[in-house]
Amino acid sequence: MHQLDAAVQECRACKQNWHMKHSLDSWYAYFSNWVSIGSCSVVTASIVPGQKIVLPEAQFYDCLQEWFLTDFGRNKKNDIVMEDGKISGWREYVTPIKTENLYEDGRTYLTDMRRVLGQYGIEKTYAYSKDLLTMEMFVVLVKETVISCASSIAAIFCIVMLITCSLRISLLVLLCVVQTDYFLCAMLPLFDLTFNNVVAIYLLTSLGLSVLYAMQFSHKFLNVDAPDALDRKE
Amino acid sequence: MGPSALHGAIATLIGLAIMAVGHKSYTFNVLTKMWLGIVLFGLFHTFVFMPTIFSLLGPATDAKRKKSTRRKVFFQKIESMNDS
Repeated sequence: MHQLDAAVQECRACKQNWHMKHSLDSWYAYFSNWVSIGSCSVVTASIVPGQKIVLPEAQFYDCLQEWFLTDFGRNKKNDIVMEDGKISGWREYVTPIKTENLYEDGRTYLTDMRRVLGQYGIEKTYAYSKDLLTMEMFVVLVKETVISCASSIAAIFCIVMLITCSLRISLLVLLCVVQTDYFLCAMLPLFDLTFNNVVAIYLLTSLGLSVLYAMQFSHKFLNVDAPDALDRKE
Repeated sequence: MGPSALHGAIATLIGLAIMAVGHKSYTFNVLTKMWLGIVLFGLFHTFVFMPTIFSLLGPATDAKRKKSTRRKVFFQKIESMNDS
């Protein structure tokens, strides 16, 4: 816990120190201070003033329950998740510095934080804030959109092949579908839109709708003969 | 084929127009613009791109294949009649 707090505060092995100095707000720091000044009745005898101590498990939980009865402990109780009388999770707060470019710095920050938490945190430790969701989007958006579109296009190809039994038709339908998506991407600046998660969803939706048009046409093309000059005359 | 695709597109656009007028939020703004693009590009492909590309690169249609088979059978019959 000490290690994690120090690593988060210093942002160890980060590209830069992303956090404001002394901004880490951890219930454990307050609790340790409370114990070290001899406020916990269970361990008062073994306290050396000014020295931080690591409590044995039984004493730790006794002291914690006692701390929860104080005003400050009661306020911090919401940051701790208890299961069967033992801590199963907790929450800490740290304030990041302001960054100019969220797209570039945000992605680096997220990567750095994940490395720190993976290295020093317990299992399943993760960082969360509204900004991190935006940064997360910058990290995975393009990759996920490309993967989703590619798998959809592969599925479309298989289905069109099954329906038409023609490789040439399937490839042409695929060309139309890919073109529609490509044109839509090209139109984004003209529509005054930026590439984000909402747009990514509609790009995927467009695959479905464009295949509808293309498939109808190609199916009709295979089944109905085009009228010749004589037919047109009639 | 043409009228049904056009009817579908017009129906989508009418629905879209109602949403475009009624909502001013970002999500609906994106929805309106993107769907407008999807429908227009879909129509462009159906009425312009696909007929052209299919007539140039498309395979022989089932109807054409049947017609040529019928013609072959017809000429074979005439030949056999002439022979006899």
